[in-house]
Amino acid sequence: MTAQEFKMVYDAHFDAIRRYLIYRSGDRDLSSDIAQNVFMKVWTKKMEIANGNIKSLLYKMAGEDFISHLRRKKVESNYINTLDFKIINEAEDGDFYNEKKKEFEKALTELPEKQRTVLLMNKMEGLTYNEIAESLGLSNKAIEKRMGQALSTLKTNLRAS
Amino acid sequence: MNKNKNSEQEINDFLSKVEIPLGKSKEEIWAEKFEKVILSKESQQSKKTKTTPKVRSLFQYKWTYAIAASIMVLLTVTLYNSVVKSDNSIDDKNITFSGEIVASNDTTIESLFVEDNEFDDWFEEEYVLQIIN
Repeated sequence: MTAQEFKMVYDAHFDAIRRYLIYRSGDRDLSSDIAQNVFMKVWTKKMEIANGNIKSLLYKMAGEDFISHLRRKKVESNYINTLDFKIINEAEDGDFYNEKKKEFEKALTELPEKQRTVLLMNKMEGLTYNEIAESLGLSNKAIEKRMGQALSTLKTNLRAS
Repeated sequence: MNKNKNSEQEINDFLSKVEIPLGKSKEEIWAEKFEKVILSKESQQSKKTKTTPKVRSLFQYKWTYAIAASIMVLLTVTLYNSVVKSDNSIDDKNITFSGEIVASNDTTIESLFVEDNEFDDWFEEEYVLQIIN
């Protein structure tokens, strides 16, 4: 892989990998570090990747690195404190809206990691179930199931708050 | 059902507005972390290709040409020898032919006792006898 090719891969996939790691970890700095490590590995080990496989390989490497990090640290991810979702809508204001916003942010952070990841990849990045399944190495059915569970859990959390 | 639809609509509505702050941009990270590493590796690689000279072996020459040249030399030598032999064999025939006439021992001894003025006649006789015989 030449430097030019590597730059193209970096430009195409770096932010997506970072966002994926944020959905899972809730930690922006950690996500950035892991994403950098993944791409550095690709470059230093001179991985020759066929065009079709690169996306799923990057997601796989990122997921594995995240799990390794958790094992090393031997801590559970503390989603509530570290996740940093921000709902942007500066035009609307008022106590009612701000309260709704906080409820939603809380409900989102309380979602299980797998459900939240799939939900946000679909809703925020506009990825289809097929694309998510390809990236995460899962079946379409598994993605559908997780989406259904995520929406159901989110509704439950919102009603509860 | 309606409540469910509303809540799903609400969720979609909120999710469309969610922003995930990524912190540093990918360009900043590239400039900080990757650029130096990639440039240093590339310069190392270019140095390696410059400093390692190509070694050419003397025995890299194609052996097929050598064999062909050897065969040509052998053919030339063989032809030359055959031409030379054929030339020599013709001369030998001439020599033997004249040798038969002249080199007979008795005739030679007899010629010693022939007078000079009679030599031509004697030689003619001998020659004619030789041919007849």
